[in-house]
Amino acid sequence: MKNIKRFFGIVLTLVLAFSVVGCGDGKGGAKLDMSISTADNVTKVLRVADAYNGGTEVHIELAKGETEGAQIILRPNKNVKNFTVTAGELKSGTNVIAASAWTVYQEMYTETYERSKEIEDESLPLGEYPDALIPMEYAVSGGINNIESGTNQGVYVSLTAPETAAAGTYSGKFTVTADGNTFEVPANVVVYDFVISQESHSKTSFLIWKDILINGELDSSLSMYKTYYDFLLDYRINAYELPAEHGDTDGFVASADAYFDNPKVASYGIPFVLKTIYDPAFTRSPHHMGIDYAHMKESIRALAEASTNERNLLSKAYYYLHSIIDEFDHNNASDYAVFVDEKLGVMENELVAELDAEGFFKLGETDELRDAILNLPHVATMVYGIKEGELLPTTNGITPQIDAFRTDYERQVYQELMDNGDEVWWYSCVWPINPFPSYHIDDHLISARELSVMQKYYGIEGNLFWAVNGYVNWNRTAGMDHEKLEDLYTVANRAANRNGDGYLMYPGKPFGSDKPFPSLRLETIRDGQEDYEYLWQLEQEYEKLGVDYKSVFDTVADKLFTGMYTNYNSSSFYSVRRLLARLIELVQSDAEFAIDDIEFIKETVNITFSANENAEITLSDAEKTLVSTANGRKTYNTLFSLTNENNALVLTAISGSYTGNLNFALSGKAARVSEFDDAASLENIKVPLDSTKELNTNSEFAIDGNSVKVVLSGHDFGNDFDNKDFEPSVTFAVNGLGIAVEKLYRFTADVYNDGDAVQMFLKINQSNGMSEKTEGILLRPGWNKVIINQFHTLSANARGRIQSVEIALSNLLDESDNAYTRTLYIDNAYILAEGDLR
Amino acid sequence: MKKCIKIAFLLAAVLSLTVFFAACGKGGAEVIDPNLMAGFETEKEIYQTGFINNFGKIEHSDKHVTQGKYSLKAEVHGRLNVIYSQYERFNNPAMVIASENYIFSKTDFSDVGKVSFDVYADDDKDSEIVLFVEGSGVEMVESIAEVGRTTLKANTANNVTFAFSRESVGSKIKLDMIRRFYIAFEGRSSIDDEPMTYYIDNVRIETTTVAVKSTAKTSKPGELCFFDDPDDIYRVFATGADAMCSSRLSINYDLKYVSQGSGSLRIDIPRHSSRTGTEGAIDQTGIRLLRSLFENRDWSDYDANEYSFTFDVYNPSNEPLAVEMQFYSGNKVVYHGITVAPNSWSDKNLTKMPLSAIKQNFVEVEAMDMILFRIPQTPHSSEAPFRTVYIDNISVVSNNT
Repeated sequence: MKNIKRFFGIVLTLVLAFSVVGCGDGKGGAKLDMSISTADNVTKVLRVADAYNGGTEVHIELAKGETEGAQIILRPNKNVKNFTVTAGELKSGTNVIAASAWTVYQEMYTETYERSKEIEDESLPLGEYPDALIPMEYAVSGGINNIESGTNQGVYVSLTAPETAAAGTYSGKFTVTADGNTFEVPANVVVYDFVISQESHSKTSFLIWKDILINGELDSSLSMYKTYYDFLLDYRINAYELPAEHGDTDGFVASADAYFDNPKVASYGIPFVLKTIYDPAFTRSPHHMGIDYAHMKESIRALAEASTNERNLLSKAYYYLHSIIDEFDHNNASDYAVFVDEKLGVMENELVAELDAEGFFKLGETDELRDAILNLPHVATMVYGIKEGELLPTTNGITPQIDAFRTDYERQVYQELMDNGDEVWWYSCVWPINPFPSYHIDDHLISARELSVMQKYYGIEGNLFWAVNGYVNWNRTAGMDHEKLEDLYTVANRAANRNGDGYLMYPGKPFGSDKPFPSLRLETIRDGQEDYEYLWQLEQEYEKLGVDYKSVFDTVADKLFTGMYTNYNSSSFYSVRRLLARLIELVQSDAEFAIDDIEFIKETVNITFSANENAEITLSDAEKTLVSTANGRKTYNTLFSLTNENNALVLTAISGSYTGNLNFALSGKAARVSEFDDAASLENIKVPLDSTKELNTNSEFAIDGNSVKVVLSGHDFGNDFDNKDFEPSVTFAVNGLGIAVEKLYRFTADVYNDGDAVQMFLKINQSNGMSEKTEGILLRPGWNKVIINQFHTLSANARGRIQSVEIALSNLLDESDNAYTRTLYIDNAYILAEGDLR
Repeated sequence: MKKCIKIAFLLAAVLSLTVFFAACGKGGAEVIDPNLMAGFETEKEIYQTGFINNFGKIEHSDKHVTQGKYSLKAEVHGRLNVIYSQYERFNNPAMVIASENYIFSKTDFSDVGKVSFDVYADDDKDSEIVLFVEGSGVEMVESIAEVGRTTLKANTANNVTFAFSRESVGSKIKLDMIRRFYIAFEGRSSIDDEPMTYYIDNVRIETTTVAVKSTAKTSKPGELCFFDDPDDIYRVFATGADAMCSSRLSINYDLKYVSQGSGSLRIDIPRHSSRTGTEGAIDQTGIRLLRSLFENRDWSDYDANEYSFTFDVYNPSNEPLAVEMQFYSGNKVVYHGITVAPNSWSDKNLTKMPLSAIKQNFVEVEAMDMILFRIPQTPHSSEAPFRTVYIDNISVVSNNT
């Protein structure tokens, strides 16, 4: 009997011993060492990685009414079983922002076992990326608030500054408690002196897949859909469909009526009902899946009837018939898309005629409604963008993928549509991928944020994203559905082998929450939407004063991205935000200060600015000239040389009791490549064998002085491979000009194109023989100001090896491979370095 | 004693590994009862259960429990205004129970005689429920077969037990490759309907030792399907409708509607339930022939210039009936349509489809992988909710016949 007891005793002891080792919780009573660092909100700190060497305090700058975040990175030296982080109140003198203005989230990690398909950026390693943000209280109640020794645990802190908060610099702290140990993290918050627009001006159409809500929330009812819809509104995102049952016209209109006045609602789709149709007019396939046009007409009529001219429910409505028109160019369905759009047009005209007959449009009173019916945007997605000769269903609402805006030429196509009053949207679904902006997990977070800035800068009306709640594995089917996820929080690859694609949210139900949880990416998207509003507000303020905002926008864009390539530089990004905030503050102040124009001319910059005529503007280290006084404003000009490593416009504006400062970082040093005023200057440029160069003295083809005439010639090598590879070009040496090539960020030249419009690109040549080619730029007939900023897409090492740049064209061969020539006149070639804050 | 210690170490290792995997690992099925497919006892089990077609809302409940401590409360919504066009799919709200799940693991159902579950229908009206099974089809594609359907009595604890007809299911799906079961509910038919509430529990199988009856059949020369044998019902599939509105297939022995032999196929096609019918509506229903009926045939016996497909259709209504035969090979399809006069058999001269016409499109008749009969759905009529059609004598005949 004793033996038996002893036997079981041994068994029990060993069971416990093996179990502790297996689960490995690492108990210990000694004082916990924890390294604590802080990060901004566009940085992804991987869980298993080196200790993050960030800041020592949480630093946030934001406008009143804005939400902005930061991160605290915890890294204990032993396993932590329980931790929590709490926020304290913020104080600035006697002003207080309550602790409740903070939301604290524990970051959850999702592992990328394979890099998102086709992403080549080596700076995006495989690993455990932070994504799900679990509100701290749910992290605690859900028992996930533990940290493995020697790993990073991110805590995301989000602050919404009250609209009534006083501007200023606030201090506060966070308290980290871990297994009985307490740590403090200081917080420093700058509240700008303006209220961010609470109205969202960027249209969005992000799809909530109602059917699969149940996979995460155990609920796919309309009530849960509405919860998700409302949750997205907090992120300044509009779901495609308003909360209403499918096909319920009354419900849809009631919902439109209820949400129309919500400032966060900028757009909503008009729901459609599918219908199989026989229509011989569509000869390719008379039997086809279409929509119930009668139902659509009924919905639009109901919207119109619920509207007034002052409160036009149609003004935020659009068509998006995703089930029948989806990537029509990719699916070879342009003809069908056109057919459908024509039927929508017929339907709209019928409806207007009916309403006319009923006396709905009362003389001059409801013209706006009539126009709205006849001009509803038709969001129609396409993959490749508009190509020459493309059959388009509509130009009002055309929605190419984001990377279809990559070249100057492509953007010009859409700009022309916008100039005609059409809406242009863009969208992402699986594509694009890095280096273009994406919402993928293994991409730079900042690109998701800057996408909204790009949207505003390029005038893109709306942003469409295909799925926010992919609680399903779209990669694999399981019978009539897709496979369920092994885990709702940690599976990154859910669609098309692109990590993070198809979802931006996480279900709250498994943690006992009746609301979903955001992702780090969703927070970033909201931040971008708010950045959009900064630009919108500046634009509005400038327009009120009759000041052109374009040069400020150009300068801002230039600091953040080139074309559709972001520069991934977070310090540049935050300096731009600070600059925009300051410009908004200055223009809203009694000084009404605004920058009218910024023009880089050779090695100088010429800045025109204006202010209320009673304001006193004082420049630091520069002289100003009064240009004009009109309409109560004084306009000044200043010209200064870009001779310093950092060049900035520094000024003070004083008006009455108001004093405001501006430090507008412009650039680094400028250097002349050549002005081509003498034959000797031609020695520094090269052209290939068949091409020629000569000094041009005809002033018609020179901006000032002389220029270089380059006759570029195509060449037939007798085989397609070489013919395609050859790019006639003119090469300029850019090293040895007094600018460290690794700081080079802009090449400019005046180029006269003596022929039809043609696409050129810049080749950036390195000492190791490698060459990078920029996206195409359209050379229009006549003079062109060529500005190329795309140096940042090269790695730091590659930038250090830059030797020369080439203005290149594609091989000049006609259809029979006969070579022809193109004459260019080039003047004033300069390079510019980036300053410390580009 | 040394032996005891060794055993102790061994036991300890085994037990500790068990503890480890239970605590830390995702692990496999936690089988409570080998015949219990779903008991809804844990949240994990509920999350593993699928719910499709805008199912509605689900939660744990301690009401109407028939097994364990909990049942599953389901507030069933369902899709509205859907198009019933997807081949062999249904659009009704359904819960999906995988044959390999958290508490159950079985893919070979060749020894299963019954499937049952308990449903408390917490509503004032009766409703229909259908059990489907899905797995690797005998024709190499994932297929679905209906196990059974029944009416749930309102405000009643219903025990639903379906005989698992291995002959019927096995004619479409490999019995040893069953992957999931679908319990399909009616869902709402209009926006004004309140969602129905059910409590579901104790989904289980019952095994049997009775051998599966063979349904293999060798076609006679020329015959594809004569519908004389009751098992011929397993040689056709109803297509193009949702679960609750699918065509009902049965073998008819009323000789008035038989063109050869002793039986014919009766198809009761529901008139369209959700809309009133509009111009050119092509919502179609119909049947598909089991591929093995024509795939296994030695077509070298049939000279394409001398033989034709043919079939007979009886239209017992007072309105003309359009029927279209569709021959598929991959993306290619050959159509052959006829109109059958009211209360008449089809004209034999019109129903013939020369093999040469198919050959022109497919290269060879052997490449054919699907034969469908399509019949347009017609608007809903409260007087006659179904439209009935009879098909018989699907065969290959000489052009001279």
